[in-house]
Amino acid sequence: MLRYIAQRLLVMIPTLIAISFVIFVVVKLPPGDFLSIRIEELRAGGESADLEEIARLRREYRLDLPFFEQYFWFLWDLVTDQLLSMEYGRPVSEIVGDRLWLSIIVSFATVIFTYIVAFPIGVYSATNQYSWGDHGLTFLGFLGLATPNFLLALVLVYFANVWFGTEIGGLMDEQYIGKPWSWGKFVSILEHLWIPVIVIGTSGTAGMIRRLRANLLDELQKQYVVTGRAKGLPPFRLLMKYPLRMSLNPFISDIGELLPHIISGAVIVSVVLNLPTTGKMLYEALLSLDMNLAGAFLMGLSVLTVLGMLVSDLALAWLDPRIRLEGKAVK
Amino acid sequence: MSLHRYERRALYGDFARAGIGLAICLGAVAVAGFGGFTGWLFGVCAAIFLLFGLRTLLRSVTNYELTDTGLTRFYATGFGRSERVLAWQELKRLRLRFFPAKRDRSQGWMEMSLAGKGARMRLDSTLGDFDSIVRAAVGAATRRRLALSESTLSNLAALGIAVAREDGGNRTDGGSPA
Repeated sequence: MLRYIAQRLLVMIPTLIAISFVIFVVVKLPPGDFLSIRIEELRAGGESADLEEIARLRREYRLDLPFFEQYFWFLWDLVTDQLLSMEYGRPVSEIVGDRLWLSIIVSFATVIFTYIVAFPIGVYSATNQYSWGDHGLTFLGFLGLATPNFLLALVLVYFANVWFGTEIGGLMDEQYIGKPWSWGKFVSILEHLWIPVIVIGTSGTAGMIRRLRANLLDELQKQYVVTGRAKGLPPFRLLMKYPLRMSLNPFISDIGELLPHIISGAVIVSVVLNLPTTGKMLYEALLSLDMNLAGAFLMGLSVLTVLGMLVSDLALAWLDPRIRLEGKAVK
Repeated sequence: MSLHRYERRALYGDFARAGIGLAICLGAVAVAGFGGFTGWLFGVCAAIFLLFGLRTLLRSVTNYELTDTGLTRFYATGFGRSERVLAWQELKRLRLRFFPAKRDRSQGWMEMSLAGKGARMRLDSTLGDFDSIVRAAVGAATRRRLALSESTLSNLAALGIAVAREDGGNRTDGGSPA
């Protein structure tokens, strides 16, 4: 296992370097840069830009350097944690850190919600295939899959306002915004949490129900299950011991996508619901061409994706260490 | 009786991997320092590569002696002989796992875990004439009527080693005689 981990880690390093280059190129692709946008904004407002100040900022953010030098300094500052956000003028790690905990809380609650709801429904649907319950839950699943999250958010915001006369945007009461963590703030977050959790989690839950149902149905039709039934194994024990375990492999593969999902903070939903999460921050950074903040955040997501893939591969190697029969082991 | 060592070529490859990984990670830690997330991340990776290098070093002096009665592991370090014996008649568990080097599982290596009274051994397919040790271990497992897991049986089939199955059902890894 140690050799496997070392090999995978070694492959991760060039992968991350390649990803960092692609991210840098993509973030730099829009015409202009943060300062040219700022100058345009000032001119549009009838103000004149201080050219000396602009030149100083251009030097400070190294926007005057050739492309590859800029890329090198981007990487260097990223590794040494010295990357400054152009818009906020503060280290990127500080800005992301402020919102990261809120994103993690929202996303973690969403993941738990997804698993708690999807798991029993998926098992029920598979073990009661083509029953009324299965048809009803399948219909709800397709409805959940087909409804965009932001639309669900807008609908909930509308009905909460019309029926209950309340605003459900935001993640906490106003008096706690920008304040240090306290018990009151935590409770306020819990009170506001259910809406984003339902909105973000619905499509994921629906997708997971469909996958679990399909995987479990495949397993339930295999010979070892028939043999187990024929030998008189209690149905629940048979289900839990073998087919359910085998059908969980795709869930473990999903860990790779789970980690970046936890901090990405569902961009559009966070804008619609006015959530102070990292998703909204990324959106604003891309709009203002703050390439340091956007690039660093995307790089963080990539690192978590690659780490997540490693964790899921390790878990799969541990749980399902079978060789593909047509392949052969090499030395 | 036959003597088995890890192949030099495979060991050199592992030493190179450990060295390159350690150099890159330590370099990144030196640049980033231990404070931030980056330093912590590369520090953990450096520790893994260091462990991997040390394990490869240990493997370079590890020998296995296969006899009709069992498998003996000893280290050729020049500081005297330290050995551990796993007698076939005391074999309690056999597990053969496959670790893919590619996502499509077309390449990779096998790892065999053996456990018996007071001895546990973990050998991988870079060991010279690995197949003959596997055959001997499977022979012992068959004689001891040990239950082998589905994945172990699949991996044995991939090595061209057939195991007579008595009941055709799923089996758990080792543990008790069937």
